[in-house]
Amino acid sequence: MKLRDSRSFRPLRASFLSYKGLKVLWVLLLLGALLTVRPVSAAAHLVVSPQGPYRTIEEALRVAHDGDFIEVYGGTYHGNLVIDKAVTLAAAQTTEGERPVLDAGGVGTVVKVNVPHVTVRGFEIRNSGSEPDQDHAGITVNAPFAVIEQNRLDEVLFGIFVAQAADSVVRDNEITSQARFETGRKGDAIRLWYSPRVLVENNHVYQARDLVLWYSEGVHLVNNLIEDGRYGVHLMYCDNSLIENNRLLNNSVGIYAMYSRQVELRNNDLRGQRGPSGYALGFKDTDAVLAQANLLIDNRGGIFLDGTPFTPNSFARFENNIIAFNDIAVTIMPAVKGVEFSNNVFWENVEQMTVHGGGGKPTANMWQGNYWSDYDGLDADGDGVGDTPYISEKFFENMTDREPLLRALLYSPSAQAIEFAAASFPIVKPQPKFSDPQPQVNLPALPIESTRRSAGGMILTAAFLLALACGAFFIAYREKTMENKLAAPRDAEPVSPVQVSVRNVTKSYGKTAVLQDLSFELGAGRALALWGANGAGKTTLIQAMLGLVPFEGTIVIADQPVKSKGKQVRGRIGYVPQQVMFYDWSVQSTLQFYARLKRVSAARIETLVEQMGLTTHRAKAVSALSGGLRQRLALALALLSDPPVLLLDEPTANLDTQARADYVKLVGDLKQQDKTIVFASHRLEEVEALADEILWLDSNKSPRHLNLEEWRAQVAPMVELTLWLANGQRERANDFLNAAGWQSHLNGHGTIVIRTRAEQKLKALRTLASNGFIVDDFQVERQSEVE
Amino acid sequence: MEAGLVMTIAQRELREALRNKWLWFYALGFGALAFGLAQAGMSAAGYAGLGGFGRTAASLINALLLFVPLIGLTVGAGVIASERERGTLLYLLAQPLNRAEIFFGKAIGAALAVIAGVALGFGIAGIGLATDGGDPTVFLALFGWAVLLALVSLGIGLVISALTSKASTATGAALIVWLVFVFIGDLGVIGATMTFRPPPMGMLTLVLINPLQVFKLGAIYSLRATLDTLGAAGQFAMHEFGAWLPFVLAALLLGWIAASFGLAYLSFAKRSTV
Amino acid sequence: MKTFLTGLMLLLFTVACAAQETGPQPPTLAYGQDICDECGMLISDARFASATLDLKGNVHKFDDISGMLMYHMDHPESQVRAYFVHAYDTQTWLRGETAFYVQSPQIQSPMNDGIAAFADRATAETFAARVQGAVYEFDELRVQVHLTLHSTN
Repeated sequence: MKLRDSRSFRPLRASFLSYKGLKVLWVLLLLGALLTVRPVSAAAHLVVSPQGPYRTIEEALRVAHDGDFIEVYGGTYHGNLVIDKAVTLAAAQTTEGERPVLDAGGVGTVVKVNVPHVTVRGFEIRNSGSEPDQDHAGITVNAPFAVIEQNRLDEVLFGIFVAQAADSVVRDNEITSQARFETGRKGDAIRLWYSPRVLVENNHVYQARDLVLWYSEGVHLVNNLIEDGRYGVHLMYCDNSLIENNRLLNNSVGIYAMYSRQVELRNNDLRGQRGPSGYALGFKDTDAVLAQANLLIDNRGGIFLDGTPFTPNSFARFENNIIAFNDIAVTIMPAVKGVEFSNNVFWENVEQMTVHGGGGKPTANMWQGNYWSDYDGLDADGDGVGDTPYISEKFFENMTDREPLLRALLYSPSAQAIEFAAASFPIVKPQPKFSDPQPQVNLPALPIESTRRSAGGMILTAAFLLALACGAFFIAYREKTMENKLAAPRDAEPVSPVQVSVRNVTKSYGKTAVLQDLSFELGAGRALALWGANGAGKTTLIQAMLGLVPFEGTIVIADQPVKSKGKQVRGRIGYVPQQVMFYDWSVQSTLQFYARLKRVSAARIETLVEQMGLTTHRAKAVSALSGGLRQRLALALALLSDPPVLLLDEPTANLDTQARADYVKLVGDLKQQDKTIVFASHRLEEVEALADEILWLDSNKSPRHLNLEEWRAQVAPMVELTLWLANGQRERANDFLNAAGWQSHLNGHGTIVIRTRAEQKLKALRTLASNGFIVDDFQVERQSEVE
Repeated sequence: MEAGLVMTIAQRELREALRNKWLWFYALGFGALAFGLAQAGMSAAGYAGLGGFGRTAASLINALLLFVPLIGLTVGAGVIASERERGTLLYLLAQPLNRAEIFFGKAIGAALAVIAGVALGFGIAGIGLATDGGDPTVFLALFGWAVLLALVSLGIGLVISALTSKASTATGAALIVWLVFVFIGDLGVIGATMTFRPPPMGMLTLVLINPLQVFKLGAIYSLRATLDTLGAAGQFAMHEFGAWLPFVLAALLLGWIAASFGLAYLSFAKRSTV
Repeated sequence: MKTFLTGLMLLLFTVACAAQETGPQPPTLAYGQDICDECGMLISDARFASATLDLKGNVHKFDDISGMLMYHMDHPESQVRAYFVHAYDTQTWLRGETAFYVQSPQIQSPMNDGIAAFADRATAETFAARVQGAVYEFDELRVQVHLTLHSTN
């Protein structure tokens, strides 16, 4: 325990009621002052104005006597004014309402009051010096019973410095400090120094440092508006203070009382105190605190208590205050005990109570009958008091109390999760910080009118956002979206004799080479079949030609190198995969989508729909189409841009016989239209029907580029030739053939069957014809297939 | 890149994403929750008019932190992986497009869908707040932060999507990432704080690594024009950046968006298989 | 995350090492931000701002030199490794143990205890003559503060 004050404390007043007596005293004093200052008969009335009779205030003062009235008319009066006679110095009441200006030109204090009973009224006081050591001020009062009222103080370091001037009045002034300095370097708006019983009333203070009271007892602060400063009100060793009906807005700290006794705070409205220690009300080593019906809203902290109450038998009482929307409603130091909180409203504070640094005994303070917005109990008997106590136990709060850095994680789901986990597992259940045994459940009415916005703006905003959400649907399903710029017609391009050129192409997956040094060329209007077992590289080659997989070597399609002009190449290729996976749309939508991608006009769709026999299926969902129709749709899509090259990757693999036959016919027609076609297949009849050349891929051998005959010879070396001859000739012909070295026999159905190499079969027919046998009909059957 | 082609892909992707039921589930979930909170918060109408930042507003931010990343991540995870799984991606790649057109078309479409989802949630919440007389400008600022966060999570979802072949794998990975951003990352920060007791700058840095926390700081700043409620780290941020703070935070989120979309694009474009 | 943590640890490690090499360093004060450990007020006047570094590595910051001395009279659990005060005239950091102090009612310090610090005796004496104050060395000042300000009751 320590006592910071070297002065001796006066005995405490018995009761706060003594303030009434104090007020009576003031009234008497004021009356007395008026009587002394303005004795009706004796007092002279001196007039100062730029036109005279007195041109400067100093002139008037020189001739004035105590009690005289000096009236000052508009204009600017320079210099540092020292008032050493007990006069009333007042601005003249003019119709223009223009204030006379006292300007010190940035040097020293503007007005100094050195004798008792001086009144300074209605001036604009500006441009003091700015040395912090020298206390340069707008007005310095060094004698008791001064009245400083209705002045405007601007560009002064300190505002009004009341030093050893008991029983003075500071009223209706507007005070701000020198704008060029940051808050800490500015001066105090009002500073009291050993000046008891001063009344500070109805002043408007903004953008100054502090309103600070030092060693001044019985000060009454009422109806002031204090904004944007550092310490809104700071009491240092000020006993018997009454602070009421003040508004403090956006100061760093609100009202901070230190080393004082009997501090009464009533009906003050404190909002937006958000400095590093932004408490609305703070008390350090202060006794006999009574705070009633104050509004503490949206501050960093509502109430801060350190060493308060200071002496064991004293008290600190907080009653009927509304403490709302603060980060922390009440902060106490661990050693604080004996504080009483009753009938307050704790509304929507992020944290209701914290013990600075954790620990301590908050339960040594009394919480009784407060309203808690986070109370979750019931009031079954309807007596206005909750049936269960309000208990403050929050695990994450305890963590932030212990490690304030963790406040950075406030409002995170993780903080809530920790809270939830702590509530669910009693092992880590937090110690309750305090409890209110009789919480109020009825919210008292607000003593002030709250400002509420109209709902209109918000409803408009909500409507706008909902419209935004609907807008997405509009964009998504708008059929007539921006039609892509149509591709330039390619008619002008010279048709190169070589449409597909593959040179030295090698493709490996890991260490397995799929394509090994593959080279071939394919002319316009030619069809190449890719022949080979599964895994031989047919699909890989097609993907390489589309530029979908990286490879070594070069591929040039329709004069465009795949590697550098992939997009252009794909524009010149119609590609049909083994089984197209369509989006879940209708035939029409599908066609439109790809037409847009290929930048093809809608007219082209009409042509192809007809050509592919899809007219009756346009509205159907793609998923409802048969396999054959799907592949026809795929072919239609491939042909949208009328590409010179078609790549078909086993397009008939999943089709039935009829559909397959139809499809081969369609592709055959395309070949007639000079399309260059590369297709993979392992059906002999398809290859025979369509291919001009065959590329035989085999993972074990190097690729072979064959013509149809060579391919036939390799893929199906033996055929069975079945011949129909007239009855009379049949046996003779058979004998003749056998004699000529053919493998021939008669079968039971009236035919001759010759087994021969495929390339010999025509020779057999010719031999028979040249020897007079008439072959009515014949049929060829293959003996082997590579599958 | 041709804008027309990109927009065509974007429209298709938007159509696809708008059919994603999770998008609407999360958007409606957030909207309903915010609506309820707003109603509960104004149970004492006069007090709400005092106009402060209380537990209700904090809960709103909390709800946003839970739902908005889910929207972005789930939509993002589906964008490439599901098409790859269905086989439609191969056919799309075979069209006269380059990969950038496909990727950015998809990204734009998905982004529009995500913004629509967030707008729906905010629209519902806005109706709930209207009776309370909320501040539309603050609400729209909050919406802006939520859109940025949704796009960050969409970008991260796209990275996941570009790297996976199956939609279910991508969705699973997205949920794990969500868990990391929402819970596990913060637990790491708590551990680091308790162990190292970093200076405010270190603490702020720790917090700003997580885009969700960046969003949170931005949202709180929009609601109350200061971060001092977040303790030393918040004060440091205010002290260091002052009025530039929202721009710094927005730049961080935009950086995340650029980085995640860029990384997703590279993963998609450089992949040697379909 | 992992790399960042590693980085952070490295940073802390190097900072710790650097501090070890050059002896205790005064902290950086954020004026108008930092709060006095003794009285809870904002520290905004560099002429009187002071700080201590204790053996556990904790930094304490004060708005007034008397506040610093009294805080450590009341908190014996925090053993001081180094005291730091500002020179009143140059507002640079000094080691508190070797500074010279002037006490006078004419010096307006935040807590009005009227103590200013100087780097050398000559400056202190010149200033003391101006403000009619007394000059003390550190240990003398501690006694003075203990007797006049920190009385027990």
